[in-house]
Amino acid sequence: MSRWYTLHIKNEILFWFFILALVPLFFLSYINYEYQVQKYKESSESYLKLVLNNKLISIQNNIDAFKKDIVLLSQKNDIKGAIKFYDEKFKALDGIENSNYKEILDGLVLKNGIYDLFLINTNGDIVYSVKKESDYHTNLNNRVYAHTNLAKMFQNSLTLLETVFSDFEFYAPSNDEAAFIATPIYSKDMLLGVLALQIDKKNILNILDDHIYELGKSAQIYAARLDNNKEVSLVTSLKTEFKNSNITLNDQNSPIYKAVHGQRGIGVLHDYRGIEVLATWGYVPTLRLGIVAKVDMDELLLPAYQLRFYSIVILFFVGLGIVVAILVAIKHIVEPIEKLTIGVKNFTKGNIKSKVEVDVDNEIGELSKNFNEMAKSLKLSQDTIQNYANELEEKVKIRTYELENAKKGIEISNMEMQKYLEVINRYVITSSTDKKGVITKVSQAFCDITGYTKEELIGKRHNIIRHPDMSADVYKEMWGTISSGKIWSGEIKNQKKDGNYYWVRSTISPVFDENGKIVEYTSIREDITDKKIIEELSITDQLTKLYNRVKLEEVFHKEMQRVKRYATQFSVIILDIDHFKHVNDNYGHDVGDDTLKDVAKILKESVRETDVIGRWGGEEFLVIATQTTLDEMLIVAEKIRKNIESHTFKVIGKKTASFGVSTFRDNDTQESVIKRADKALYEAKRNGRNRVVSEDVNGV
Amino acid sequence: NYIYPRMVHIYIDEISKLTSLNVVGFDFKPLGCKDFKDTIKDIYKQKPDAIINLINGTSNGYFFEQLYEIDKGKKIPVFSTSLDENGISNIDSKYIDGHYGAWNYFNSLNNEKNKKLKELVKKRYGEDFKITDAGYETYLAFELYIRALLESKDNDMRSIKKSIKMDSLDTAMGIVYVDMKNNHIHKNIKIGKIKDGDYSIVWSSKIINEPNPYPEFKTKDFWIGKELELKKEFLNGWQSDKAYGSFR
Repeated sequence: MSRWYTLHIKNEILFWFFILALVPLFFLSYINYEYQVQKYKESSESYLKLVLNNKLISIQNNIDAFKKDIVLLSQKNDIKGAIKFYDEKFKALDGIENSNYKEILDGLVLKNGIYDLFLINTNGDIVYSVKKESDYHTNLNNRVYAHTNLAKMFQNSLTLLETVFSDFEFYAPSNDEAAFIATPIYSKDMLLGVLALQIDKKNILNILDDHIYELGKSAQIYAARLDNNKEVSLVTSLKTEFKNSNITLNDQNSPIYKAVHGQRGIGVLHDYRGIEVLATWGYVPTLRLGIVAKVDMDELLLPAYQLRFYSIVILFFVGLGIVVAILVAIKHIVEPIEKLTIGVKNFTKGNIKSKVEVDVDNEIGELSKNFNEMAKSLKLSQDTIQNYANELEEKVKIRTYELENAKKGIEISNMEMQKYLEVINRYVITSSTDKKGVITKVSQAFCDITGYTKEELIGKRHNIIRHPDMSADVYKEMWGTISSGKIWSGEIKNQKKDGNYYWVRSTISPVFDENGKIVEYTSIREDITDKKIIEELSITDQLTKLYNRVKLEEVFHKEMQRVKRYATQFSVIILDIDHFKHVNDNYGHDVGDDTLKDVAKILKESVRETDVIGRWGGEEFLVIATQTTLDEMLIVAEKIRKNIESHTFKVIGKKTASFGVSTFRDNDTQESVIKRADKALYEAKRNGRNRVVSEDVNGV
Repeated sequence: NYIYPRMVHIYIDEISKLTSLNVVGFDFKPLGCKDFKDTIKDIYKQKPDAIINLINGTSNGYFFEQLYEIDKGKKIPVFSTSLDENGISNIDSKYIDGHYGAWNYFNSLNNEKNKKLKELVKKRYGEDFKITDAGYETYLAFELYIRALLESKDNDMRSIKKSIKMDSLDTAMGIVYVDMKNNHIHKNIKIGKIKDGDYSIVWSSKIINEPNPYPEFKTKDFWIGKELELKKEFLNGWQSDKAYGSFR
């Protein structure tokens, strides 16, 4: 609330009432004033113009009248006769005047309001003048008189053969201002001289002496000309009241200066007193006279100024009225509001017992009463609420105590749960993958067994731990099961990070969302590596790492079952290393064992993955090939024979083996099949060894 | 040979009757005439004090050139009424320097207003452009018309005509004033002497001359009668006036 106009409501009302009431009033008055000024100016302008035009026309008419008079005069025989007569007299230096001409000429002067009349011969001699002032009988071409207006007009009228007017200028012989009109006098066919009239100023400019009081006391018309020094010189008198003021006529921007320089115009300018005037000015070319009609702006605008004064007075009284009205209003409205405000302020601060003492009979009074009532009932409510609050507080205390105990119990449970989770994490091999088999979660136990860290596993595909021994079929079956929403369970051989293997029994379950869609898979595993190792040991020949007789018999059993169930076929090969006893005898048992190992290796490399190879006893090996005919088995046997024959053994060099091949037939037992194979092997040995012999089909 | 020079001839003839002026001969030539040799020979024989030349247009060039051939010393001054600065500039100054011309406006007028106007005109139309009397009077008439238009505050012709009366203006050729009766302009008359393609002013009237179409020394009726006679002769192709000039 740091605005500059931060106001109490009292001042605010005062302020806005002032603005609302006075601003429109002010603007209205101002517009009215400007309008009036414009109106006074315009009407005065047209009036001044009219006056000036009338004066200019009147002067021109005066001039024309004089001109007409003088031209008519010059054509009169009396004048022609007079100039001839006086010219001759002058030339004859005869001073006697003819009284007849004198009477006529003197009479003309009296009749026409002319000051003087001159007759001038073509040489410039003034041969006659009515007044006979000092100029009489002088020569106007003489340099003493050549500068006078009379001399100039004489020259002009002769040069132009026209009637000419001079300016008003001081004329020494008459000791007064005067103008001259001059016109040539002709006889029938020759120029006799010039008739000139000296005119009193008043005869032409009397019109300018009229006052134009219609426009005001300061309204006046005055005329001036340019004197020989090119300075403005007044021709008419200025109004008496200004006579003693400082007069400057040669200001280029004054109306009279413009006028005498031949301009015509109207405008607001400073006149010879430096005072602003509305003026119009014009020019009379015949007399080289500038004329100004003007009125002082102050006087012109006096009614407007009065209007402005009254407007200000009205504004003042209206303002005063508003102040009084508002002071009254304040007593009834604003003070109660202020009291109410203070009451509410106290109330807000928390003084709930505060009471407003307002006793006015309006809305504010009502509001104050209601406020007091409200404050009272609020106090009551507050007390009640306080009681409830106290009770509530007690209850809360008890409840808090109970909750604290319960919380302790939960904390203990949580700790135990944590322990279990910790155990699971540490000892149960669990993992979760998304639908694509990418690992999302692993337990610590999973990490421990695989040798990977959590960070290495999460985000990788689950086959990171797949062991190459595991056939793809197993995984195919597994994915088929779990992706159809079932639980899969089976034994899997996995590979650790360091390349070692481990066996688990794995149970993989799909996890569904609320819509029954598979979200992820979780698996729990049991480490069965030890069990698997024992299992393998019991079916493995320890020397050759091939299956032992126990396993071979188990395979035999399985194959026979399969033949019965699916009506397939399987065949067997029995092979025996030739002259093996000789190796043992000559090179010792170690070399013998190595030979056996080598043969086992060749066998592994020579047969299909699905074929089962085992040590049948001593230097005898058995190959069981599922879904294989006798002919196909013979080819296999031949391949093995060639591989052994071409192999170079470490110590003993070349070695061969003999082969007996038989196939399982209806009603065969294990013994009968082996027996036929043995018989064929015996045949092979008998026929020179290193050869394959098929069973004697007919000999069964 | 048309109405204007013949009217001036009558005027000069009338003046000569009243004054010591003596017209020793005169001649009229068709517009566009190029051969003045015979006329000039005739003039020269009369040994006049001055020649008044009313020739219009390019013929002036032939006249002055042919005059120069006979009067190389320019002993006889020529006063021309229709030869402005543009006309002068088309004639070799050798032929015309020293002769005279009369106008109300001369391009050489030496006052601030004329200097300013010449500057503006040169800026717009080039250095060689010369304002002549005809050009200036056209400019002035337009200025006066505009003033009257602004003064009258409406474009009613009667109002404009009323406003233009008695208007006056301080101009490049001196003070001008519109006559309140005939709307012609009161103005100053000047005579200039030709020098280097321009006029230098040698005389000007001391008053502002009235636009008076009928010289006072004869009646208005006299002048109007003469004018009508000339019009009639003009329409008849100057048939009745067999004599082309005093020399024929």
